[in-house]
Amino acid sequence: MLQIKHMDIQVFRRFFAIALLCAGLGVGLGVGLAANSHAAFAKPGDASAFIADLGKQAVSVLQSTGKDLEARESAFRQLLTDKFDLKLIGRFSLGRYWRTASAAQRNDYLGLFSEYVLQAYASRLGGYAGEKLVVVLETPLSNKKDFYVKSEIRRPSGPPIKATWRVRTAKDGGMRIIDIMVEGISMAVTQRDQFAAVVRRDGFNGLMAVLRARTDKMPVTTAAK
Amino acid sequence: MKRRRVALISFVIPFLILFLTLSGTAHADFQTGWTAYQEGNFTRALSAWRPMAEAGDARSQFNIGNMYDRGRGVAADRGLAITWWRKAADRGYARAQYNLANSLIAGDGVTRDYGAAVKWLTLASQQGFARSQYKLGKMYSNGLGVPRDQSMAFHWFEKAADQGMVRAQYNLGKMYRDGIGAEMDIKKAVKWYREAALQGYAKSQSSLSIRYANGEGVARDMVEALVWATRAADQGLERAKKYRLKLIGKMKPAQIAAAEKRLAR
Repeated sequence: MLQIKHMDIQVFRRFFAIALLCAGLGVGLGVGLAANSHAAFAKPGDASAFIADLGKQAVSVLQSTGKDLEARESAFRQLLTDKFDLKLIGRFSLGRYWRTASAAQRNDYLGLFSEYVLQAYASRLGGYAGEKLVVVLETPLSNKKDFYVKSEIRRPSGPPIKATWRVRTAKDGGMRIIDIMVEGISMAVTQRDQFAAVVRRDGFNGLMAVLRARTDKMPVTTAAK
Repeated sequence: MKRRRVALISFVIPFLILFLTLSGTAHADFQTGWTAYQEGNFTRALSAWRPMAEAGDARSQFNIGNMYDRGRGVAADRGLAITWWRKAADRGYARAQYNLANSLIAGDGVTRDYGAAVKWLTLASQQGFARSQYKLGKMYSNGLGVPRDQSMAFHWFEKAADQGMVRAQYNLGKMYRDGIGAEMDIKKAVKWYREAALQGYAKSQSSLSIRYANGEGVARDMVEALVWATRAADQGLERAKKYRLKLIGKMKPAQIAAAEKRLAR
């Protein structure tokens, strides 16, 4: 059994739940809407506003009517593509193997990785009515480009999930999510450990096979065979 | 004679009605599940599909497997996803055979087993399921779960390519180009590269560009080479970006303008 599986089920389940926290979320923040897209460095409050805005947009995607689930999923994936720095997360997740990968391998990997992550996030679409994301605290990091946005996902049943978003000001001045910490566990670090275990055992191609197999599954259908 | 016929009819008709009613009900239940699923009401979808799945309906079994795989309406449980997919796969449902094979390759919810994956892929491929045919070709080409066999890889790629699957078309192009699994035939390579390129597959667009620039299997045409390299580069393919710049360095302004004109069409 691949080691990746255990963490997947345990940790990613939560990760995805978080991505969907955006779903139910009525983020009650009294901050301005969008981050200043031209600022070199974010001002206090920008990162919180960015997370709040993501939630707001997720709600509008989720509550759209007249579209089937697949179309809503696709819109949600697009939203996440814009908000997450998938290239950075993908690169980080490959760890030291990024350096030894050829340009073609990196290209292939990033394509698959994005699909893998987006599919996983979007898969929770539609099932989380009544959940609410509340931003608790924003803390700047000493590197001067990142912020932690601490939040709680309050659910109709069960205790709230504590999630911290690491948000970075990108080169284009916009903000991107570069990590999520669920109950103190970094998703990016977890993912990197899982990937490293697979690469150690089965090589880079083994990791690609796993990612491909995960993203290749056929969805729910009405087809007769 | 007449009485016997009447007796037969009076015996058959109630069964026929019962059968039609039951199959109509089953159809309605499946649709109820489908509508609920599209609305994001996974609990209702599950309660519509579960009795059908338990009664042996492969399509419902497959869908429930997916709901466990994604954690929709239930807690995510890849082991249970496998259980449901296996039931549907045993009934010959190709999509379930394919998902089961993917889980066996990734080791998702089940111990990784390339050999078993090949078995399920073969069953789905024999039913003409293109994605499975492509993946089976890859298993043969990489020697996973079966001894490496390029002619078998070619065989399955060709089946999938004929059904329009771009990755299979691209792989077929490479095999013809290199004479792997088939006689080397650069014209056929160009044919398959073109098929996939026309469907927007960047790697194939890049390969087609090179064939045009080198006049391999097709008349040399720098303008067309630049057109295809640009299409691939626009999709973010690094090697196409580099190759495009290399082409531009060799071309006259009028040729570049001609390529731009074709791209603008």
